[in-house]
Amino acid sequence: MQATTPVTKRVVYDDDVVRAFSLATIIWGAVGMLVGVLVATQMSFWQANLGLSWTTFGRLRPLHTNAVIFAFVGNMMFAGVYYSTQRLLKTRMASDLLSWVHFWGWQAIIVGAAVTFPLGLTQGKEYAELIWPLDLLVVLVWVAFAVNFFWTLARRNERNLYVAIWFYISTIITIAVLYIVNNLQLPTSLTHSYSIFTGVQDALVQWWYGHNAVAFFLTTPILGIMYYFLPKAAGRPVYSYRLSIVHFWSLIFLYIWAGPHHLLYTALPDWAQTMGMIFSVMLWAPSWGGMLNGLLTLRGAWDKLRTDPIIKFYIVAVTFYGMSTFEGPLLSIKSVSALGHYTDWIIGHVHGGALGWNGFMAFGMLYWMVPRLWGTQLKSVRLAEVHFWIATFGILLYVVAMWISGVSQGLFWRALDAEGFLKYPDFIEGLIASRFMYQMRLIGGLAYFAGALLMVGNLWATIRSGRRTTVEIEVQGYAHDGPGFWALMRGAPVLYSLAVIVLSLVLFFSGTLGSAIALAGFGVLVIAGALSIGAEKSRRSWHDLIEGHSLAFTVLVLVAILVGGLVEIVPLVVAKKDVPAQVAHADSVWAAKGEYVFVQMPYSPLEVEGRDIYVREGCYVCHSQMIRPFRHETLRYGEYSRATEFIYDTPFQWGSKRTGPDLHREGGKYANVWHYLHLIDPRSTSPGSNMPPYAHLKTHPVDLGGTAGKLRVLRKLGVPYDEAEIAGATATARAQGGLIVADLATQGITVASDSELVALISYLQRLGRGPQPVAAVPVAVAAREVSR
Amino acid sequence: MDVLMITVFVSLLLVVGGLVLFFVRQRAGDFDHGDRLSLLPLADDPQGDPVPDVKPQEP
Repeated sequence: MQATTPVTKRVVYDDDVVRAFSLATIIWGAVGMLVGVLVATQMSFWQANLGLSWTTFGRLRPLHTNAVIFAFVGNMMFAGVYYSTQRLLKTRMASDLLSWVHFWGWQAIIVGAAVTFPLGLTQGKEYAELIWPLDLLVVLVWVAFAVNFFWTLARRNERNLYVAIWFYISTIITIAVLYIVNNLQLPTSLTHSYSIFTGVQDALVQWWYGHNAVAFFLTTPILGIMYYFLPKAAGRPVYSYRLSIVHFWSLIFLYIWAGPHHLLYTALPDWAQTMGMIFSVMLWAPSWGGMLNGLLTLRGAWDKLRTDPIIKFYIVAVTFYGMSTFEGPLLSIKSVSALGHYTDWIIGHVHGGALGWNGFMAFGMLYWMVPRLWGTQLKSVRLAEVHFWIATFGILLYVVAMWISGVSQGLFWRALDAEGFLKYPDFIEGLIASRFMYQMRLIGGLAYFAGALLMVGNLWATIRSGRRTTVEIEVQGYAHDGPGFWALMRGAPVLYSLAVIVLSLVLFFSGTLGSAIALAGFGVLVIAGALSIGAEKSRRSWHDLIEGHSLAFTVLVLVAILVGGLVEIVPLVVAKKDVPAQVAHADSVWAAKGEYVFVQMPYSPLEVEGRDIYVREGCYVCHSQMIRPFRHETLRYGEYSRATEFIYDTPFQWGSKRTGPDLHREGGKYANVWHYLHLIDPRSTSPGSNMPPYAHLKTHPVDLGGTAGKLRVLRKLGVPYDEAEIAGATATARAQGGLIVADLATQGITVASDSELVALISYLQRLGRGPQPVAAVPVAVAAREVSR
Repeated sequence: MDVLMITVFVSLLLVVGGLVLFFVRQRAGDFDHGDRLSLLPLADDPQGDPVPDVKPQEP
């Protein structure tokens, strides 16, 4: 496929698709930030939920995150990839058709998300909320992108792949792996499905995906863009190509392991937590190596920082990258996570990354690229300067407000008095104390959004003043003179790296003898390596050769990113049968006196429906279901959470933020009437709450006709429903609803037994304890429990 | 305490191994080919000299 003899060619770049992605970036960026401003307003003023089901915080928050990540940064990334790839490889994209399939397919996905999220159609997993038909579309579009990209690599007219291309390769490969695995699911209808993973497994797979969506969607492609566009804007080559080699390989190898740092002190096995923490801390080195490589690219040209707003955007972006990648590993240290997790500190951290790093890179790239794509000058450099300062003020105000709010929350939650009891037992006090910082956050977000609107106007005027350009160049192909695939795979770095990986696995997963052998093996490797220094002499180095062989390079990237995922996920999947379904009474939190009891019985049909409503409304974006083993948490919420309690939970609902209190032991804590009043008007039971009202649940009936189908799918996933339970699902649900309705009636409240409100109450009352009375089948349940 | 010793030992071994690998590859010239490649972004198309819009030719 690669050219074998040098021939002169004329190449016309396909910049139409770059222009399309650039425009989409501008439009969706404004939309995503507008929704961000709205949800920030809702945090300060609950009335901004507008009293509509489809504009509640729980539904709009996924719209905001997906719009910013996949619509704004996604389109920006594709614009940068298409622009730079063609120029670095000196060839047009291999297929115009696939480029446009990619563009329009991606926009269709975004529109699909914009429609489905407000309707409450979601998988309930953060950053993976898209329903399964849209997931399929994502995979198809990604495949079109990948085929086009790798086809272009094969047709290139430049022998070596520049460092930006490496980062693009890692993005395409890794996102494909992550997205497919995390979205394995069984549909129950056209718009609903259950993840095939449950409980702890689901949590690990989700955060393996979630963390690496940050790594390989928001970081590696943007680093590729940095390595291309920053030198262009600065007019200087990258500071150190050598450093970029170390940066790339260490970053992609280490990043994939870090996912479990989102689950510190949870029910995830401790070894996986520790591994996530250690690899996160190790990420400091490559991340800062990359940051310094970007910053030092300006050596000798720092004067541009005074006059060029594009350079200003880039430098602040890279600085925010450094800050975020310092803060991330810091938050991954267990003792720091104990303070920061579930608080606004995390919100500040991710916005420093998304708005500071991704947003400023996008602004810089657009200000640089749009005038060139339309053959004109930027309409107003002064306005770009104003944008820069407004956006910088906005993001700093945002991040600092969230730092203060987050650290305050962490300290507030853990504060104990002299007797060792909670100093602030009422959760709502902390929320009320955060309100001022939420308002500061809103002002910061508004400033950032206002700056983005200035950019929209400036770029629109720029486009209007120019016309589309076409770039045509003359190039020579290159003579493919390197070794073949297998020869490269036998190179010393590959063999050395594989040996280190294998020995590490033996060291950590074998007994004493295996560990001793592994340590001896390490010693042999080090000595052999030291002896071989200077021994290998060739015309072209191994990395030079591998840069010239796109297939070999891609395979090595795949191996590098697979190791971490396999080591962390496979043991947990294999260990599924080792999670006990029953424990002794001493470990039970609800059982009456007795012998062994089932810690987790399947949810009743009505509780399944209630849980789906909980997922649909996005309750998990503000409420966790994971009580960590700290005194202050067990005092506030009850017994700490155990892995066994989640074996039938799909999707898991541990959450990652506590704007409201943890709900894992919510069952039985309050009467049905409390939940009724709380859901209809949260401030009637919790003065000062910013939770949206859910009065609409009272009038919406549950579609009980589909409940049996859901139980059937859950049974395929391992939940032990028998045929009688499935056949009687509707009647059982109505009967259980009837019990709750009868209880509410004693308080003078009238509500239908099949209303969504009743179903949700049944689920909330089940949380953290065993089966609740279900009028129609108590005998069947009891019989089955006894038979076990 | 035993765990600490083993952890320190393994960590040092990995650090030494990493340094050895780095110097092996440096002596083998793995980092010496980048001078031309680092200039690629600066010389990829005729910036500032856009040509009038024409129908692109199929490659």
